Amino acid sequence: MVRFEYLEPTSLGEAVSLVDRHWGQVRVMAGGTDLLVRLKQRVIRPQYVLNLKRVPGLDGLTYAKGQGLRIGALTTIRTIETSPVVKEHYPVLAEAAGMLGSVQVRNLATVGGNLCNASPSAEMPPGLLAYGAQARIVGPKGERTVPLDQFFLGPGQTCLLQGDLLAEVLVPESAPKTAGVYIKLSPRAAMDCAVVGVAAVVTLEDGKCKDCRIALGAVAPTPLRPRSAEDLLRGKPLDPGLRERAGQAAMEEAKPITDVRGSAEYRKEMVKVLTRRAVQQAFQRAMAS
Amino acid sequence: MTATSLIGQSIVKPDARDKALGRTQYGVDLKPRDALVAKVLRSPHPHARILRMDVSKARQLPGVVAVVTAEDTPAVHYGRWVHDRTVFARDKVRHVGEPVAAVAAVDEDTAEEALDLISVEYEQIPEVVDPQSAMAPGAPLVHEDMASYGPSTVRRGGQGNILDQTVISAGDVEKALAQCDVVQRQSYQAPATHHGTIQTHEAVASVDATGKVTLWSATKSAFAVRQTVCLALGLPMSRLRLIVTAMGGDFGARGTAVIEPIVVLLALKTHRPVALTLTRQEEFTGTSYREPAYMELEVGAKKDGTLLAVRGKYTIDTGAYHDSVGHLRPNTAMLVGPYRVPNFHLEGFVVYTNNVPRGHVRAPRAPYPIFAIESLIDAVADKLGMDPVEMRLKNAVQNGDTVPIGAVVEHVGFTQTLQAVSAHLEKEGKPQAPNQAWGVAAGQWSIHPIESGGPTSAAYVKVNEDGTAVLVTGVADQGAGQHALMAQIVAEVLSIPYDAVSLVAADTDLTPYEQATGGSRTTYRAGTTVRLAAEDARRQLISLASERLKVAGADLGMEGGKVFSREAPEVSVTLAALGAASLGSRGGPIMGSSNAGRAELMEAMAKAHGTVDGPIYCCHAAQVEVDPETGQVKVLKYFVAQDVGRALNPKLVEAQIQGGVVFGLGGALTEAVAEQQGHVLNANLLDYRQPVATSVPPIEMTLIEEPSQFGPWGAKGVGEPPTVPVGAAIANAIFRAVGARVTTLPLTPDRVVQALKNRP
Amino acid sequence: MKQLISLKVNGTTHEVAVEPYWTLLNVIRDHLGLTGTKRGCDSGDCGACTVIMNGKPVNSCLVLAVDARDRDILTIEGLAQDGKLHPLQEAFIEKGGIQCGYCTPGMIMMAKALLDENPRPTEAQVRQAIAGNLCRCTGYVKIVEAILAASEAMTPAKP
Repeated sequence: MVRFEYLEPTSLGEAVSLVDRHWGQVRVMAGGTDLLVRLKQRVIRPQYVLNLKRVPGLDGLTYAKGQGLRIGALTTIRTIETSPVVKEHYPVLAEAAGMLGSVQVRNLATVGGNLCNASPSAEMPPGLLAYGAQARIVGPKGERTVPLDQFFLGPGQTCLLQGDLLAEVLVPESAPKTAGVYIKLSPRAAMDCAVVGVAAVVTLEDGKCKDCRIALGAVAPTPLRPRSAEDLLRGKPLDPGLRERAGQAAMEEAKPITDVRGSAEYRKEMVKVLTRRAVQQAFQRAMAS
Repeated sequence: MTATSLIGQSIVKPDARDKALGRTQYGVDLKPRDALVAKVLRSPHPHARILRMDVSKARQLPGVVAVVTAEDTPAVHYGRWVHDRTVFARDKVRHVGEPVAAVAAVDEDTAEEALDLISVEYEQIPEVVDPQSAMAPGAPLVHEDMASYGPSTVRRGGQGNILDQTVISAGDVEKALAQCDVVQRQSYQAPATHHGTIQTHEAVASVDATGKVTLWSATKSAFAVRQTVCLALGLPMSRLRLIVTAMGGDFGARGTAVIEPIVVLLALKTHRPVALTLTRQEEFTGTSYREPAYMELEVGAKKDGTLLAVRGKYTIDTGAYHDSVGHLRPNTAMLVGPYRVPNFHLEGFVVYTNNVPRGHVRAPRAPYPIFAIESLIDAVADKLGMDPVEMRLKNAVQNGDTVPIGAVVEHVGFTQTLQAVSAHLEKEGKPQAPNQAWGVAAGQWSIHPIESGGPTSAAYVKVNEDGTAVLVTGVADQGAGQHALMAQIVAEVLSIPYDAVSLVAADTDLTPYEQATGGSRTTYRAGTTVRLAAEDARRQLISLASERLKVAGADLGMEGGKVFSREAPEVSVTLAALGAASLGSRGGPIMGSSNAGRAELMEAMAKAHGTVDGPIYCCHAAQVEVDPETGQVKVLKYFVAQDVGRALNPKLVEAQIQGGVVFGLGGALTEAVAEQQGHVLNANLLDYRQPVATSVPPIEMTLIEEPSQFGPWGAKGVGEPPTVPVGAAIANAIFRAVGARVTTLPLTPDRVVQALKNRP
Repeated sequence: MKQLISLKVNGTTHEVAVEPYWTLLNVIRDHLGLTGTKRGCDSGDCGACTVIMNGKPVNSCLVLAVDARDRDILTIEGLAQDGKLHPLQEAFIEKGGIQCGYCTPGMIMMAKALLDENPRPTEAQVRQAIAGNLCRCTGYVKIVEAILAASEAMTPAKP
């Protein structure tokens, strides 16, 4: 492992000022499941590693009716997977969380780390995007809230500026008759990265799609909202022909690459299939809700 | 055999307890506290000249005790089959991951830093990474001086990058194909795969004041590794003792010297214990893979399903160094599968490239040719409208047949395995759900003719003064239960309880020679010699008892820890008494040796010379469900019928078959090393996708027992065959489910989708 | 710079001086001599290094030793009590769930964490729970049988 100096702030303010002071030479550690691997492989060689785990108040879930869910950045993926509140109100997040790595990894990995790594294939962004989540960012100049679809800038790149830390993810309360799904395509039955991940959340009203958000993982430099597909669905009955067209529209927005996990061509095609399926399943669940 | 026979009993492996407690010591678990930590600097390039190397900065780093390079080793080549490699690259590197230098330092962090301080100046030269280009005239040469490599037995290619080539033929293929009612032709392809042991390669070496080296290594071929290390470093064998440690999986990875020469060299340089553990990434680029293969095949049959002709070409990319195919002929011959085919013409090629070296992986070389022939036979059956099992039954190899390598097979249980599959499929019925179907494929392994030279294995059995026994054997235990089985054989022969036998194993100074614990031949070959040694001990016991009881040896029986007169069982003496008495007897302490019965065994083997005594055949059936939109394949059920000769310990046999099938499932569906211009893109266990617990369907099996002549109690090998036909069984099931033929392994979703589009 | 930390492993508190870049896996193996916990990939992909930390199974290769201070760590060596094997250990031995044994400690620790949380898991739940523990020998069949058998032995089904 790369030798580094260890920073362990005990307050958010201290953490922000340390990150600010050592900007460019410091790596922030949340769960560590990704960072430590890269340090061992010596692909990054920071002078400092700043561990956020002993900063109080950064982990935990709180749900308030009408206000939604707050997920502290240091909340583990396993907590999200097993939380009764999440399962009840935001089942897509629990589903997606359960598909990330192993139980052991999920006990360490955090939602903040999963978002801040900004991996295009990350498990949590599609579901959070589909629920319309926001990121609460704390930095040297105070705090701000950013819609999650403006958070990701590219592979490994986020909108965090010097000294910024992601403190919390805010997921709004869902309207009645809302349901969603996360579908992940990967060759191995578990312990695999998504070749394509699709989350869809739809809200129904009078049998029609009142609102809908779709989010795609692993098919663009960042997690992607295929707005043209969403626009197609909004205000219409979700019949099979429309779902097919939405799949087609999502496919046209996807900009996947070919890598060891799948070819661009296959990924594009699967965006179509999985978007159609996700919308259909979300629709069925919403009908049943 | 007596009523209390241990043969056929599922005895629990005695090593399991320590393993469950976490007490078993593997590799560096037993390194001394003051051991130095070694790290290896490896080539980042697939093909490059080494212009300059400077290790001085690394040597000056506090905590570094030694840095070694090619200059510290004798200028000799060594290798498993052909002597094509050196401990460290000299002058040029031939693959990514080739060792260039190594350091020994006080701790891992310092050793890693020292690697950073070694500067190597490379001049990259064009690489050649696929056999087709490598065989083309004017291709860059991987080994310019191949002609000088010894021994020449494997090196029959002789030009360019072709290391070896062979042609096997019989009858007249042209003419026969013209007479066929159906001819099918297809190319097949399969990738490099990783052995995937959970423990990476580890070794520890220590040198005593006299200069004697002790090497602890998790190898299955202690004697071969000793020989290689001695050759590579110019040591007499008396100066190197290799003790085999517990092994965290083998699957072919541990049959040859990989890191041992480096560890021993560093121990000799530093006069300190040195430990080396490969990282997972090094495990991927610094060991070896199953060799990618390219197969072209043409099969012709009559309307009634009789196979008339097979024409085939089998080309192997052996990477930069050849740890892979020792014997090209039998591997090429696999292209006809376990069938009677009167006319065939088969060509085989082994080609060097600048890829990571290829070596043995469970059932080396068998799965790919079998994937090709079993897929194509299935296509022929389909074309003929014939049941696929029926088609195989019609052409199945039988006792007394001459197989393509020219040997006669005996004790063939193939037909029974096919019948078992047939019966199972009948019982199961055709799946009614859409996109579901069963597919079948047959497999074979160990079609080696008896060599008159006899087994390259030996054993001793010592009887203690209390009537218990110690087996001394070179057999290593990869975890399959080899030691348990060897002890079971001794206990059976001496009619003593299983736990009255203990074991000294796999130590080059203490135990007799053993070629390797591999090839599914340990029970068959080493088991036979262990039995000889135990029988010799038994003879000595009977002889001593005969003296003491004044009863002719022929009239004595042995059971329950006693030797007794068959006529008057009360006339008896315990093995304990005999063991104690033997110490002062004329014959000396009782020490059975496998050399005792060896002459008769070899005579019998000479008589059987050229026949295949323990051929292993199997047939698999897989039920799959295919998602025709995503191409995802789910294996719902799996069935195996395998001829095991005799299941000495049924639970261990079952475990081997379950493990072998799942190993095969990985190769069938998800495993492939992603190689790009000689670089490995997925050198980790996340993107290299071995099966996980949720990948595994229910596996049922039927064991066929068609005894061999020489295996103990008729046993044959078990461990490798279950891996062989899995790819084809699933490919055939996919075809039956959705009508798409995937001809490249692994059968990934994108390939299935592509094949669906290519449907006629 | 080394830091003196106290690590509570298998009920015993150890004072260890650790560099911040040492993992928990390295410290329990190389400094506490508890080599039962295995290193297979060092990147969280194989599960061989699984230990239970504050009641939760984690990959000890992905935890910094400094970060494990003051936490309660259980390794395979702490499972048997007074020479009596844990029912999972018994079941792994009896059912043939152990071949090479290299994945065994991590597998057993993961299984223990599962049974602590869910004493009567279904076969599918067992498979999901151990999906992060690679085994190359057994095909998982006898491992799954062993975990189900241990569950049965520890928490017999209600009649």
